[in-house]
This record gives sequence, structure tokens and C-alpha cells, in this order.
Amino acid sequence: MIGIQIIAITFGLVSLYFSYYQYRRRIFTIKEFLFWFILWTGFLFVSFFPQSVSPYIKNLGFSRLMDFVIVIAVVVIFCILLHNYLVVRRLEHRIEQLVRELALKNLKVEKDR
Amino acid sequence: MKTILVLPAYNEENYIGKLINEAKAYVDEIIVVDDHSSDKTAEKAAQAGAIVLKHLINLKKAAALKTGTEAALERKAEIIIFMDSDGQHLPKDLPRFIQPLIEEGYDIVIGARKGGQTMPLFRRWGNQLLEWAARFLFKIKIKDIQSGYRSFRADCYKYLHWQSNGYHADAEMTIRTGKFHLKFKQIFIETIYHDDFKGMTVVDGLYLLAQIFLWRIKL
Repeated sequence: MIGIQIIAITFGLVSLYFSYYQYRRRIFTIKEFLFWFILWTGFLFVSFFPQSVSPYIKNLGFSRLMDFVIVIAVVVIFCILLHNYLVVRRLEHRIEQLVRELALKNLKVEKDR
Repeated sequence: MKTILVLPAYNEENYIGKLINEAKAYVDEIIVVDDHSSDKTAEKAAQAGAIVLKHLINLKKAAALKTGTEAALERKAEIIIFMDSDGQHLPKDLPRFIQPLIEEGYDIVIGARKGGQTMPLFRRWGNQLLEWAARFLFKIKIKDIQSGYRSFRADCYKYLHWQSNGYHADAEMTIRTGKFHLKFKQIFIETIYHDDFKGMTVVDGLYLLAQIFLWRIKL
């Protein structure tokens, strides 16, 4: 086993534990936990047995496993970035609505007095 | 016609009281939307006789204008006027914003700041660039697309209803005026700049320019 594999496996195990921990704290739902569980288990499998995906990687036009991992990592990061951006925008919109409604509610209260 | 002045305010304790006292003579009611100021803006506005609405967090100008407009509609406004609270706009110009709506049948009156020596250089160039973009993309000839001093008939709010954040609401209203063919009048106004560090930055201006191109696709 080479150094990079040890780092990847350690990272995968810690992330898997962290996902489980979030599930136990009821921050993740069962669906969210299953999503992350499958993702990290797949990551650990590839880290343990890199040769198992070599034929597919060659078919995709990558010469090395590491190139494939980096490309996939960048794609995943961008997906998460987009998801986070959308969540933040939605939250911003909801907070704005709430704050504005509260301000207007005070106007109605004063008017009714 | 019931006329309500809406003042979005953020840390304007130095100007808000004087502004309200001067503006009171020209409008039926004044609504101040305090956008979570850390100073005594809300207290001074209330003391001067305005209706004060408070945002619990700072939401920036566009949201404050929306809150103020909805409050004005709630209070049966027929004419709504926007004005900046930093003392750059003169209340004595208010009749010029009201009269064309009542007597000449206009939907919206936009105050164009004179780009003379009183306007900071970068702001003058930025305004010029934005004006060209609006003219090229929306075929509207308005000298100052993002002036904060404007008035409109309350029933036009459904067309003007802006989605932008921050300082872009004024520009979006102008663009929507062109898009929905509202009858507009442009009048030239005096402006006094008290603080060069308030309002839009160069980055905001560039972002707005990009936004104008996006509105061409979205609206």
C-alpha cells in the first residue's frame, strides 16, 4: 500500500464516521446518510483496490487513476458549490421575506391601536 | 391624491430629521424604513413625525424600498415617491415629482442628477456607461437610470416590482419602465454629495452593467 492510499483511506473512514455521527445527531436524514454512505464506501473501495477501476478509466481516456480522481473531485466540488449557492440564495430570500413581513406587521399593529 | 414619501434609511441620523421636517409640507405621509441602523435614525425619524418601519437585519436598499412601498399601498397611497435619506436630494423638488403624475398623466417621474462638477468623477463616468447600455439594449433615453429620486402612480407597482438586491432596484425600475412602456418623464434635479464613500462602488457599477445585459434576456 502506498502513501496516497493510506491518506485516502484515512480520509474516507473519517468522512464515513462523520456522516454517521451527523445521522446519529439527527442532522442528516436516513436518505442523506445513505447518499454519503454510498459515496464514501465507493471512495474507500477505489482507494483499497485501485486496479478494479483501471479498465474503465482507460475506456474514458484517462491514463492514470489519479487523473480520473482529480477530474471527478473537481466535478463533485462544482456540483456541491452550485448546490450550496442555491441553498444560500433560497435562505436569503426567505430571511428577506420574513424580516420584511415582520416590519409590515408592526405597521398593522400600530394602525389597529 | 394621497401621496406618500418612502425613505429607505441606514445610519442617517445626521440628515433624516431635517429631511422629514422639510418634506412634510409637500406630501401626505412619510414612511421611513430603517434598515437596521446602528445609530438613532429610527428615533430621529419618529420624532420628526414619520411612520417608522424597522428591519431586524440589514437587507439593503432594494428590500427597504419594497417594504416601504408595500406599507404605502397598505395605507392607500395613490402616489409613491422614493428619495434617498442621506440629504443628497432636495425636498423642495417634490412638487415637480407629483404634478406630472396628477396633471399630465405620467406613470413615473425620474429625477436625473446633473452630471456637473458636483457629481464625483467616477460616478459621472459610470452613469454615462450605464445610460448607454440602457439606451442600446432597451431603447430608453434616460440620463440617470439609477437615480434614487423618483415617483410613480401606485397602480404601476405591479410593473415596476423589482427583484434586484441592494442599489440595483432603481436601475431595474428604470429598465422595467422601458420594458412595459410606462409613460415616463425625466426631470433634472440638484444633488448634494455629503459622503463619497456611500452608495455604489466601482465594483457595484460593473456588476450593474452586467446585470443590465442579463435583464435584456430575463425580463
